[in-house]
Amino acid sequence: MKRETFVILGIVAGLILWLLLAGDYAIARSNRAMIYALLALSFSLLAGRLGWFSLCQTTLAGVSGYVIAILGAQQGLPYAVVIPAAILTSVAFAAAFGVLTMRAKAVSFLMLTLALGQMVWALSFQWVGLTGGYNGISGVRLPMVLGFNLNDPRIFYVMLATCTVLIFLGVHRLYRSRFGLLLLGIQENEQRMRALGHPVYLARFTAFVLAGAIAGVAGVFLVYDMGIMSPSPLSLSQAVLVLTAAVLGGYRTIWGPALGAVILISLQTGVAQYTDRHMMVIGLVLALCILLMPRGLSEFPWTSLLRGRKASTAST
Amino acid sequence: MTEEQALGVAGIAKSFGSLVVASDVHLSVAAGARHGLIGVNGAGKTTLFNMIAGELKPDRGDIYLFGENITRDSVIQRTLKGLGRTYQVSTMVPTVTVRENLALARGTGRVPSLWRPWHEALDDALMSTAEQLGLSPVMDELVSNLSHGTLRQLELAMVLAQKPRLLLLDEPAAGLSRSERQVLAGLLRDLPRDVTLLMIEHDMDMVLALSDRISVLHHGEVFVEGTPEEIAAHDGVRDIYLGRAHG
Repeated sequence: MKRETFVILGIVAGLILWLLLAGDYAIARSNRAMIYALLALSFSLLAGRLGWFSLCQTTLAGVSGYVIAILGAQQGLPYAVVIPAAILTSVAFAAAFGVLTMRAKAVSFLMLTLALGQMVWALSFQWVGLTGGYNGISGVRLPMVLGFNLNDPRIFYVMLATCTVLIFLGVHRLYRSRFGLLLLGIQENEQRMRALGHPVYLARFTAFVLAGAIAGVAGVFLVYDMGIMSPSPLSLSQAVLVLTAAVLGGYRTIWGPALGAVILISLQTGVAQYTDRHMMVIGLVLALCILLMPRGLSEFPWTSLLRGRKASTAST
Repeated sequence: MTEEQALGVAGIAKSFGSLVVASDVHLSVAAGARHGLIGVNGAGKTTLFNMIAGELKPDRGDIYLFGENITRDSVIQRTLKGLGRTYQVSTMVPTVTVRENLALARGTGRVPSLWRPWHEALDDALMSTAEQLGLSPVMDELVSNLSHGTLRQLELAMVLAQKPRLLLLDEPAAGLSRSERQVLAGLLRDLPRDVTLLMIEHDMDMVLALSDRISVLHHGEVFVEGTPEEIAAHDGVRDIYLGRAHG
């Protein structure tokens, strides 16, 4: 069996084991961690492959959430219509944002995504008639299907974990595709890729739309997980949270965003139990991690470290 | 019967503010030719290459590739029409392997497959080109670890993989050792005649040995054009290189 298949089976087994062993609260927090893992993956697809640090991936998730809340909770349209419409709206927003940003580089891209994200965030609390303003839209629920309540955290976990694993596997495949390699080439040497006959802007646009679709899926799960859609998931602090998860885990690798999201949500959950100043503790831990492991946890040379320790033990 | 023209440059001009880098450049390169382009630093050689390749828009004038006016075409369109180029600095994609770089060699003007693995792009023809250029032993090396000479070979392999009809070589021997230059000269000499070469090079021995014709660019104009023997014997060219003429 290939090592890769072994790792994937291990992850799936771990997810099943966690479902069987963890309590309801832990499962609920795991659900939130998986949603942020998807958002961090959406961020990392752009940051790791194109060197584009986007601050609007949470905005695209928020757009998806609002479509669910407006069409589903308010208008009562069927789920089979609402969920695809939500993802498609995120994709449409990503396409519009992509047209505006595909020629931008590093800092200007970051600033553009910040501006676009903040515009939508402002719109979300100012357009009260549509979005419910600060109060948002409540009563966003999944249906009962064949006697199963899909809002149950454990059933929700199964749906979310299945989707998350499939999306991560899809992006893993994409990273190894010709397209994935081209994105790296564009990041490193845009001029050369163009001279070799590659459509640089179109490739960037495609990546941005794909990342938007992942954010859209994350938004669907986020709104059903929260049960309410308000402007807060679109705020800058949420965008920074996603960026932090990706940087902490390592945005250049496929599993880094998931690792970062799990650690961040675990820290939030764990530290908050002991102190009100949990954000300060989390900040300190993050600062240390980033200073010691600038490429993130997933790219830290753990094996060399262990080997080095073994060697030094042997020599003494 | 007139000889087929691979490249025609008709009255190209380019200025950056008050700095004139090309003024009324005319150049004709016959199909299958090995054409050298020489001139002192600042003569406008690379600027002319950038305009031919589409990376810089000329202020006026036209560029023809095998008789077709490509002045308004993008870089990608020109590449797809058979124009390949190398750069003064061969940076490629340093963080991946030689093999992965080679997989990027053949752009099609379309977004490549999002599903098919990159290594499927490495067909027999591409691997054979890599082998001919001596890259087989370093296929799994990171490009950032390659020597300058090997990097040049990789760049040449990638551009040849596109099967260009006209190849622009921008100082291909720059930074190479004597032995590496000899290898490069051999590689260029062995290229089939269906690839037309236009080469900027400061190594005069190499230019004189490889070229059928040479154009000398000076102050943004073609100062003189001729066979290697005519150029080597031209007093004006000697004066330019010694800094005595047309200043």
